[in-house]
Amino acid sequence: MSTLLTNVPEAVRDALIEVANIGTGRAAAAMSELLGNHVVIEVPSLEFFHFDPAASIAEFQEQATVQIIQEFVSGLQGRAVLILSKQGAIGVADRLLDEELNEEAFGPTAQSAILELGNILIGGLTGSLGNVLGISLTYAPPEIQVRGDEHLLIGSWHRSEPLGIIVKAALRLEGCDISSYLAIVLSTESFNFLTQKLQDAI
Amino acid sequence: MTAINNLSVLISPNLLPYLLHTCSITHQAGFFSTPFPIMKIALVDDSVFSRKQLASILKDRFGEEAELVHFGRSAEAVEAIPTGDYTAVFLDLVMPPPDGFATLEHLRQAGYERPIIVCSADIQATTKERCRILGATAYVEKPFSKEKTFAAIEEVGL
Repeated sequence: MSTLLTNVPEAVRDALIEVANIGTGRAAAAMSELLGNHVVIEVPSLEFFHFDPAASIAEFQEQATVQIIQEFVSGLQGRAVLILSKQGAIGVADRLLDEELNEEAFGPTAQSAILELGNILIGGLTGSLGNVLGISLTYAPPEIQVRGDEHLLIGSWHRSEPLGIIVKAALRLEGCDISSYLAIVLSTESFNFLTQKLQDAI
Repeated sequence: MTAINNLSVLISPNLLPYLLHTCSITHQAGFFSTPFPIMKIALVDDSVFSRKQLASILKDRFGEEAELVHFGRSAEAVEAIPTGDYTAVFLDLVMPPPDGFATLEHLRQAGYERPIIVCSADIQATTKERCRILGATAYVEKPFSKEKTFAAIEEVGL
């Protein structure tokens, strides 16, 4: 565990996981409503990294991924990301559009559906966070990236300071082999601000 | 006009002015026919998928009574809606500029007084309050469902 996280009191970390749990539950409910399957949630974990975020989600190291990325414009500095394997994204788009797609057919319509799914799940997770902590977040429009793992999570967002994943939550669609990860990536400054808000609240 | 007045017991009072307006035009033209559509609803959302979902729900609710006009770019909606005789607007929030907040503000400043229903995945209380202050009539949380959308439709009296 990083120095940053070990410096966070246990009670604050527990509270942060609880807040993340609420947000993940909200995101899972939205996903289930859209796709019609029960969504299994893994308990969110807190992690921290410096410059190698890809290592945090080893499941996707060997696969092409689809990432929906949404930046926070104000409230906090950072971004939220929904990550699926490309095959998983195609499976989800199948369900959303109610038509059978193959890899070649993962075009604008399918990508629009996945983008909207990402927007909704990220809104559920981060919106709950904002509501509970009294932070007002505003968002940039989400972007979709279909690619290999070389820029997982970071994309074109480079900062000189270390970044922290504060939440990494897995959502698995029951009855099929589709997993997705939601992550919130924050600057150190925003991470400290967030933990301070939690400390004040408990 | 007797036939039209008799119709008023069968239809929503909110729709009557539009129906009467349209009927009077067809009546003056020398014929009487059932005028469809009687509502014109703008769907402003940069997501094609989202607009399709909403359109499907609105079709279920209004059938041919509503003409649904899609705007994938909010800049076009800002130009067209104030002078376009739209019955209501469904407006996404997170879009390329102008975003939903700016669009909402612009439409109200331009004198558009009919219902604007904000639709967003942003579930923050502060966002909903900001929309209310800017003039939103109702707020629907995404993902869309019939229940949530119909409730908003009832709320604004469509």
